[in-house]
Amino acid sequence: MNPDGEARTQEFLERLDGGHLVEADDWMPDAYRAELVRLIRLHAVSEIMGTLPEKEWVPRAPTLYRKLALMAKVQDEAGHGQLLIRVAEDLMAPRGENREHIMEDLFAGRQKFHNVFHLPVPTWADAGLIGWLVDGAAIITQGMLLGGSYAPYTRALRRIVEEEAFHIQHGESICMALAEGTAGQRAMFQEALTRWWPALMMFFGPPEDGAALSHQAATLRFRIRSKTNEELRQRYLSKYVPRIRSLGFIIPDPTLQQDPDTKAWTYQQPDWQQWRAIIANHGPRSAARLNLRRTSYAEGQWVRDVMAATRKAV
Amino acid sequence: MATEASQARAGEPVLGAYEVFAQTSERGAMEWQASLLAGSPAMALMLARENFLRRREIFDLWVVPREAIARAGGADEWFRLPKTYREVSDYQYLVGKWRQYHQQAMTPDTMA
Ligand SMILES: [Fe+2]
Ligand SMILES: [Fe+2]
Repeated sequence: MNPDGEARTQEFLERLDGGHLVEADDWMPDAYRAELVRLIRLHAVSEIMGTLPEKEWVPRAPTLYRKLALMAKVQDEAGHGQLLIRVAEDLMAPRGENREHIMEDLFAGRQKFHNVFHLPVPTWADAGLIGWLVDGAAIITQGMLLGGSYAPYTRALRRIVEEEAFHIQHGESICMALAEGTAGQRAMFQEALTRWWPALMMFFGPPEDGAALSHQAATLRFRIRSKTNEELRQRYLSKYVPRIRSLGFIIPDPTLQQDPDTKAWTYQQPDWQQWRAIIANHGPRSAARLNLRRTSYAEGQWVRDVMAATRKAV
Repeated sequence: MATEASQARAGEPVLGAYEVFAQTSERGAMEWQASLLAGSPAMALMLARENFLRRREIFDLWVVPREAIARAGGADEWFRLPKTYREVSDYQYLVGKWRQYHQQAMTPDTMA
């Protein structure tokens, strides 16, 4: 970097430290733009790929009310993807890139999405668990990001977090009904919890000593995020472990405990090698979901063409 | 939206209607403030600032030519469809349930 750019970056960082926010057409260091694009693309694509596991249960929802609510949630997630892709596109524009690049990268395996959306959803309890415990994890991250330095992202997040509140309640309501249901329904939820727990522990990413260190440090320095992966996971455990246990379910980690003085949780580290494999599209449903997205993108081409047309054909 | 009178005089500026939006908090959204007539976007910005935003601190200001706005209109049935299944309010009963389960979890005979 030339000395001029360095001085400018220094000044930019001081402005951030002074609590100033950045708008889309403000000057920003390339590294700041790059971190934002990486983060917002990951978030946007995770929202879009996140519609796929749950939509499997729309035709099989147990009541009309649940079907309506689940469809509403899936529709919200697609909307979150749309909001975020616009934020990302404005940041990508100086590089001559747009949403098509994001989709191409996704299809070519160059664009990651969250580990939880690579997994199967074999029962209705899994669908409920996603709403309660996966969206519950997402809102902890997103709530933290609301205070970030890039204003357009935080404006989109404010709308998203409002809708997430409904998603969590909808998920809680499904899980509560199963918890208060028959022995078979309780067993169904317990099995789903056992299946999902390691993935939930992976959700926030590895602790600080892991490979994600550089991006984490950069986003913290740029005040895009204010908490580390581990701080978020600790907050998640404090919020959800008591609730899960109060319903009488067993968390499949015999080492899980909270220090009564420091309030810090110790837990079994998930298999981070497995996490890396999953987000590199080697999860159990990665290929199937990417194929579905590819097919629907191709089959939807005519819709995008019609919507982009400015003149009548005849 | 030019009036016929203004168009009639050659060489006179053609006035159009602009809707004024301002962002009154740094993280906030754009909000409608006023409508005004101006001969150009630059003039509309100046009039908006001088006429309507003299006191409040603002972070950004938009003026939008009225003909650029596409309106849905309030008569659309879609706006009033019942959609409570999308609302948090439909799930308020969960608050009481959680209170009950937490209390149960904290009584000694169920702690085992
Ligand atoms: Fe979402
Ligand atoms: Fe959600």
